[in-house]
Amino acid sequence: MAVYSLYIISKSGSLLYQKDFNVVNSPISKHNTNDYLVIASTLHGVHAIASKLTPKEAMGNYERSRLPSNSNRYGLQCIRTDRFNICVYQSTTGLKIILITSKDLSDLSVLQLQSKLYEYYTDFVLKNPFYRLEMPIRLKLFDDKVQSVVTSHNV
Amino acid sequence: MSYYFAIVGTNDAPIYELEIGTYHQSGDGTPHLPKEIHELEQFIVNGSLDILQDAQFKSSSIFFKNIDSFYGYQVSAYLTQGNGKLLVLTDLKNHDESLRQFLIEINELYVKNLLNPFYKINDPIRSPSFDSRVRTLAKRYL
Amino acid sequence: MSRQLKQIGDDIWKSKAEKVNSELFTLTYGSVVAQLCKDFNYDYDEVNKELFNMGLNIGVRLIDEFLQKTQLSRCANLRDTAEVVSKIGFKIFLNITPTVAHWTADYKSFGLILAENPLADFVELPDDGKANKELWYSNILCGVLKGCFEMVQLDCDVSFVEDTLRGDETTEIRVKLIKVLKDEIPAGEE
Repeated sequence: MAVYSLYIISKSGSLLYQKDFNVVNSPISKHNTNDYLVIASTLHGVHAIASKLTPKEAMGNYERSRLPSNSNRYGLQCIRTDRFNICVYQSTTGLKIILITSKDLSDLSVLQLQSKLYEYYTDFVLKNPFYRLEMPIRLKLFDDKVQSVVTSHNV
Repeated sequence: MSYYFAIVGTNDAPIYELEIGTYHQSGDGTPHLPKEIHELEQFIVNGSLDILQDAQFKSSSIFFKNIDSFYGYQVSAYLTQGNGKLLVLTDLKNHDESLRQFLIEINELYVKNLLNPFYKINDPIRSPSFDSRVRTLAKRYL
Repeated sequence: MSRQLKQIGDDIWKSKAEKVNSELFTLTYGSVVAQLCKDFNYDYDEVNKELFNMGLNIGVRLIDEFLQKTQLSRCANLRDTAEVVSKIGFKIFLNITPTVAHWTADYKSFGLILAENPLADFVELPDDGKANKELWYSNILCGVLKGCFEMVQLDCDVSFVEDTLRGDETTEIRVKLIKVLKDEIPAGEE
């Protein structure tokens, strides 16, 4: 079970934070900064398009009982490929937390991880008085926390 | 029985004063200090500060009963923990525990007043609610 | 619904909320306001504005904390919002539960009545004759609410209408919904 990459995208679609994790045999190749921006804005766009395409009846599929803080109901929720999954979590304020994970990580543990990351975001990013909203996150404390929580999943 | 009560700040400048009579023994709270005393009361109380200063370092207590007297008028003092002084001048010779109780409660009020963000230490206390609370306490204890 | 919200608020207050000594909190806020008054030379309109902006800055950050802790999703209408703000929002951050009252007939505007105000313990406004009429001592709360609403796409006016510090009967914050910014609701929600 492994988490390969994390993307945090703001309400307006700009990339706030990106991190590739050191995993043996990661199917994700290294990119340059520009590629990350492209990936982020593409996912943001595809998510929005998906929300337009989803029929309202599909709402029934959404499990209300489980972690309702994920307000991503109609948008892109998951892309499954042969080698990895891309899972999208969105807060009510529009923040997206996107994880690229191995196939064997269950949906529930992905959600739990995303919700934990959201907690770290509120604690270590938003509560830092010198952080300005919508700006890229360059905070050591947040970085360390992310690293440690994700590493604990990568066993 | 009448009382003159003053709070003196840490820099020895008065920040609050009140002249009040007893409410006990069918008193109605009006002070009956003779005119000469009325005119001198601030001086008398201030005069006792020197004695208080000598005494405060020789003793560990913060209440000094009858620390000074002036022609039969007694001055008692209470030191707040921050070196503010609560002083009472009275014509009562042998007052009981109630005066001390009164000053303890005033001290509490004084500390609460210090917590008001708009109050600067050693500023005169002009708050009407402080005044009315002091009067209520006087009514209960004096 | 309302009882359920109260339960959520109580639970979070007990288990997740960080506590701080209330006097430290009150004195910190007090010295901020007193210093602002001095800095703006007792121009209370400016002080109100500054407090509001400080609150706004807190609000736009605090809302994520709130949503993360409560795991709540978007409210269906303003009546739910009012209940959530009072029973959970105020509860978990200030441990008070203001009464929601004075709805207008169109349910676009309500009042939050604060029976106690932890910001204002020990406070007496300066007796310069105008603080009583001009200064909204706890105006930071309005800013916080405004900021929170803004982040969940509710465009609102938030202001004090009464404050016991000024000698009024009650302390009341008025919230008026201008409109729901539908276009700005993040894609993927209903």
